[in-house]
Amino acid sequence: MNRIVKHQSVQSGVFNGSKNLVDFDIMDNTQHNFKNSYVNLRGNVNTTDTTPRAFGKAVYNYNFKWIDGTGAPSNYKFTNEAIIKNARLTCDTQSAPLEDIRRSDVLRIQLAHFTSSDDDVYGQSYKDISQGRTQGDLIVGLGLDLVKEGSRMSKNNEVSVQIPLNKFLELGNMENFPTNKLGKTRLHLELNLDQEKKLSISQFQGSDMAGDIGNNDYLLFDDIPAGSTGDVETLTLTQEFVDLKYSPFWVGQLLEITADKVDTAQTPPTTTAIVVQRMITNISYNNQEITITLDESLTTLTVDEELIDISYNGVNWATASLEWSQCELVLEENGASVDMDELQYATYKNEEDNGNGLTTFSRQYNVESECFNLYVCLPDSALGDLWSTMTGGIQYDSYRIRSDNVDLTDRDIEVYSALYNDRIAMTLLNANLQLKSLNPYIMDVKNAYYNNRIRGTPPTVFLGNPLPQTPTNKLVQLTINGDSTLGVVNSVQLYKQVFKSIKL
Amino acid sequence: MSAPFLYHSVEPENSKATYTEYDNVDFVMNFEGRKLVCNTVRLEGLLRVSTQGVNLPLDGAGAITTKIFIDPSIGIHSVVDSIQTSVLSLGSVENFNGYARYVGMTEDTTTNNNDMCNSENLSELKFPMLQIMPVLHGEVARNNANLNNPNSFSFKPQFILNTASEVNGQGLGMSFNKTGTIRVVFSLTRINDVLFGPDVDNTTTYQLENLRLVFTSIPEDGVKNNTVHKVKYHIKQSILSRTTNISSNIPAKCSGVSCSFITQAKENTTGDNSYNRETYPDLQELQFLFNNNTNEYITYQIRDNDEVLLRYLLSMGKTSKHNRTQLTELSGKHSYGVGLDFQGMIDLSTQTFNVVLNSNSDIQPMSIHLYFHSMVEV
Repeated sequence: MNRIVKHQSVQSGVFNGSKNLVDFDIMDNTQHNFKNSYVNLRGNVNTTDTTPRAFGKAVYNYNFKWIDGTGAPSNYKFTNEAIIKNARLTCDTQSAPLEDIRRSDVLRIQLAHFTSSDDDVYGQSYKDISQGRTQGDLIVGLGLDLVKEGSRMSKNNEVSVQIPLNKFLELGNMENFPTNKLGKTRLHLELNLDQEKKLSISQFQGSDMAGDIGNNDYLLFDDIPAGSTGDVETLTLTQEFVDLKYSPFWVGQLLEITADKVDTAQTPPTTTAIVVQRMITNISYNNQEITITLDESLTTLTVDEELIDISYNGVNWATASLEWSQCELVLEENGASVDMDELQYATYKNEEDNGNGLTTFSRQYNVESECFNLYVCLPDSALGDLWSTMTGGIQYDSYRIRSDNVDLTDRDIEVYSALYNDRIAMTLLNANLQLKSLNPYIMDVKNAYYNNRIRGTPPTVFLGNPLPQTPTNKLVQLTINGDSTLGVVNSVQLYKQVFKSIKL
Repeated sequence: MSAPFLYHSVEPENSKATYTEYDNVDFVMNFEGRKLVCNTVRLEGLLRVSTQGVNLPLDGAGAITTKIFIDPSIGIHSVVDSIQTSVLSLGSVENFNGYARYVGMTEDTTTNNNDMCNSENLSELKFPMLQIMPVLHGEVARNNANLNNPNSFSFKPQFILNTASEVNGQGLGMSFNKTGTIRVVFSLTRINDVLFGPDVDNTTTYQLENLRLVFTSIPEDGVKNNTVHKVKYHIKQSILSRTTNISSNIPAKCSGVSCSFITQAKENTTGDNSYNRETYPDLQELQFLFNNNTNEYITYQIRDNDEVLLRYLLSMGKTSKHNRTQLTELSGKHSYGVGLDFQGMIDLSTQTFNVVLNSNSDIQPMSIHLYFHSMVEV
């Protein structure tokens, strides 16, 4: 029988922007199922209240966001593998690394974009650090236990981020990784954890509740008519919800409630505005009606007073901090070993370049003979140096690749043309990857569920082509023709997919 | 010369004009001289829902006014409480209790809301969301827009005859010479389990008409092939305290277990969905123990919600990237479960298997439904 075990990283936490190197030692006693194994990054989100409530500490909803070029959190959804910047796998019996993929984040985000349909993206969102809006246009942050019915307090649980090995290593697809033959193996990772420059946390359903939930009908409570005397501790939302999952409330949520208290005994009736902060302590959901109970009375009504125009907004946290405390490797050890005397696999080699703002970029690269696929990523500094996108419009008109002075296409490949799509399909097919989406737009977590990947977000650009394997190194010339007014080529990441073979 | 490919349609043995809760519908499949093609068995018929003695009215293009629902991801499977399958030569081969809930778990873990718009799901009266559930309100009659006919349906039950795999590439045919007649009994679910919503009351009812079991067969070719079928063993137990240890002995070799939960106060009520796959409140530790031993397979206590879900998804199958375990669904008390894929067949008749659940909060009494995944060769 297989065994699933946890290995702690060699380094102890806390991990952050300046302490972002993680190593794991994998013992050499057996074979491992890397396909079912993953790196687990654990952390905590700690929040403080602006005005603490006697009932207890409030629970806030949040989402993790990538920092863009201006230092602000961007609204573009990213996958967990973006956290791993560089990855290296070494073993005792081989002097060269088994895999050494630099800027794995840029490559994997690019590949994930084209090899996952929207439904695939939502299918793995239960473990995604960056949450997109789902049916009902809501988001629940990773690690949150938001209680939408009853009186049990919601909780900020520990955040655990699963990053499967096969999302950043090609050997991660192996079901029988032969550590018994390769010897003690070490996985070395460099993580993107800088909260100022890479990964941050943003509040959802804070003081911009209307903007976040996108439906003003959700913001109104039923009026309380004259004759209902006493403390007002419960409110019923005017909007009915056919399903509890659409409810914007959770126990422990802090609300700023505004209402008008009208004294109908006066002529003309006098109105007193109420603006108070209250915490939800109980939610009942009955016949599609949602009734919340507050930790403290909203106001006290006399027999002639009524409460009208009752609405609410979220409350911002005072501070929020994110601390990555542990990193562990969840590894499946195989119960039985498979005999093997050779290990053949593909991996990526990275070459970094810079176009220095050129409009037309042309450069020649010396590429390994065993390279069979070439990907060129142009990480966009405006979006945090992660996505290969064009924020300023269609910056790049076309590109062309030549191998040993032979053009790989009979004409320049214009972006978003049929030939461009054909090259994407061809390159991914050559890598044994399934092309599942040609939608160039990246998912915007600020947009509603139904239009979060429709026009408006920066389009992704894919440059790539299969290459013939050659007896010796080949000279590959890359030409990118930028738009005469917008086109500027800066950071260029070249990923060369190569075959490797090791005798065991 | 016998037809190469025959479509069979079998009427119930206990033929009635309509069937409703607690009824048993018996079908006897007879395909003498031929081979049943496994995975082609479907139950077809008409569904009529009525309340206050009248059929649910047709709604226009606007909102549905009568709020009576079935679980949108289970669809017409909701009416089936259990399926007993017996083969003349072998006796009972599967007694699948808790059937409809299991269909919901399958859909939660292998499909998403958009998939419900596929015709294979629409014909089973499944829908992407509760808000658009016109199916219970009937079909518009062709010549009279004001008349609503009952809803037609055709669904593929997820039972032994539809979960077959071929052995040694010898085909999915099941020879009549080997099996004899096959009896399939569908037990229909009580109304409050099938229908829910604010407008369900004690006059609300459902009726099935024109039921027939359809399947296909091919001529007997004389090849003595076997087929392997996935079968389920269902156990329902109560959870009454923060720490629960559920111990099971299953008379079979099993490849995994999948479990879902429901608050007992919400079972068999008119307002709530009895098939809801609710979240387990404040789950802090989850363990799966073989023979009370903690060192087998998963060597640690599972504490992370995403690992709980990962193990659950793997226990239900590894083929699909689609599922409904989004965090918003879970917070709305949907699509949750726990489970474990054993990575092989383990004989649970000779050892106990325990599921240990530990919550940090007081919990209302809940029911846990455990489905053990096993296989039989026919």
